[in-house]
Amino acid sequence: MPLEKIVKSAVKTDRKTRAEPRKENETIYAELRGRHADLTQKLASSGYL
Amino acid sequence: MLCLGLDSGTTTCKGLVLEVNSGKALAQASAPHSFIEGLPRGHVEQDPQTWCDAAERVIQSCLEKIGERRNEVVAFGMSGQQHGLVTLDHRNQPVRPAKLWCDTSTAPEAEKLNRALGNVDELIRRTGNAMVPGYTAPKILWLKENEPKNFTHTRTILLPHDFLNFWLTGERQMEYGDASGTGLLDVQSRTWCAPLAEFIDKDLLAKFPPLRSSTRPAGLLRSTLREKFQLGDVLVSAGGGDNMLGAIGTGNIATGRLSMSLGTSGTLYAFTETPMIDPRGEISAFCDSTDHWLALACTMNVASAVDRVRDLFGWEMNALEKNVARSQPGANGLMFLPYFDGERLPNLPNGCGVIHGLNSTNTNRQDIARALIEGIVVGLAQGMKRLVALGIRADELVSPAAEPKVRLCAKSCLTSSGYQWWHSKRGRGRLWGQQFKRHGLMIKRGEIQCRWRRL
Repeated sequence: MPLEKIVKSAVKTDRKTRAEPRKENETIYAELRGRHADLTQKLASSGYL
Repeated sequence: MLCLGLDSGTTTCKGLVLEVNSGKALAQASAPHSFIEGLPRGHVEQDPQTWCDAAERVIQSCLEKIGERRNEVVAFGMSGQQHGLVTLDHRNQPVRPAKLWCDTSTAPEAEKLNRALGNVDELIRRTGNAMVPGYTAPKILWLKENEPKNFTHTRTILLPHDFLNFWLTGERQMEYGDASGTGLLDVQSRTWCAPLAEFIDKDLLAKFPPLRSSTRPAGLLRSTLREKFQLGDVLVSAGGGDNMLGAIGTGNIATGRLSMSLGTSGTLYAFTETPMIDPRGEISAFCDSTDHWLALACTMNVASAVDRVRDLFGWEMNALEKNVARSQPGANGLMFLPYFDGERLPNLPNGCGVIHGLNSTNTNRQDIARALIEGIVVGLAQGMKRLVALGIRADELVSPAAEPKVRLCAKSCLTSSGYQWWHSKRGRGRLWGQQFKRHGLMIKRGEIQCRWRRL
């Protein structure tokens, strides 16, 4: 039996658990991602990581 | 017709019996295996025999649960933690404990291998990947440099799932998917990169078993196990690395889907028709278990980081979740870099955990809890950003679940972080996802956690 056929019949996702993005937090987390990267880079370049 | 899937992870072996025609899961079981204690920081090792012992307990437990229907079992499939180094002597006994994917003691050897062909750019050109300490090749070089007698006594090198397949079938072999995690494979041609192997040792490739397609079965269950388990002829699939089989289990066998697996580590991966080679070497260009490719981002500290903080505060998972919920996005300015065991993305094998920004208003449990979860999620987000930059496009992020502790971790990560694409409005639900191979199968629980918005 082809893998595609088995996966199609056997792998199912639970749509009840689907989650949508929280638009109001996009800015906060985009900024947080940048701060994390910046902190990591600065600590690594100065020998603390 | 029944099939039994096994997943030998970093801490636990899980198993599940599936009725193929109906897709119904008939039995499941799990058994832990332990680390070798007392090693220096960065060294993470296990006795390979403990994987077999745990797998045997899981198989017996699953078979007991299905009673006389064990006669209907026709195939086994084995998934294993990637990258671990198993060395066998002339009697096929382990020469020493296996060094695992999360062993970062091999950072100096990884650096040597990055320069082995001149520079890292040339290494990426020749193999598709930069070398990181977690891959198998630096562990082999470490063995030769630090334990030369053990290296000399090594006749066969296997990866964890190859060793378990050897235990099941008596056959020694490797398949493309897991083999690509050694760092020694040219993923484009699916052949060993001989100059890189020879840099480690001129006779290294003689220690490797035959390299085969991931769709070719490993063999038949050997007679002693067949008798012990009271089974008939059972085919054992090629199996594969846990991420490669996680891809199949989440339906990631065509482009357009992104999978996320949260366990001890965190991985994001996507099927690709051609190797997706990252010139920065941050994303791994692995072969998958369908003889195609898998672009993968990996962070090392997920459940392991959660457990450390939970232990520190004496929290059960619900206590952690409550504390996370009491804080707010951004954790009042607190940042937590969860690099307890070093980190792979960013590549900081000697890294350590950092809490930054403590002040009189955020020095409390809830902000520390939230900052931890956000630190984990942000690390994964960096991997996702890089995958997108390289061209991965997907409408959905699908996540397989594992043991309860990790499912709680995933739930906490997804539902509490408030991260833009990882907030679950309705909490967690589950159903069975199954991982199949053409001549056998692997099974994992699968669930969709969220939709993903393109960055």
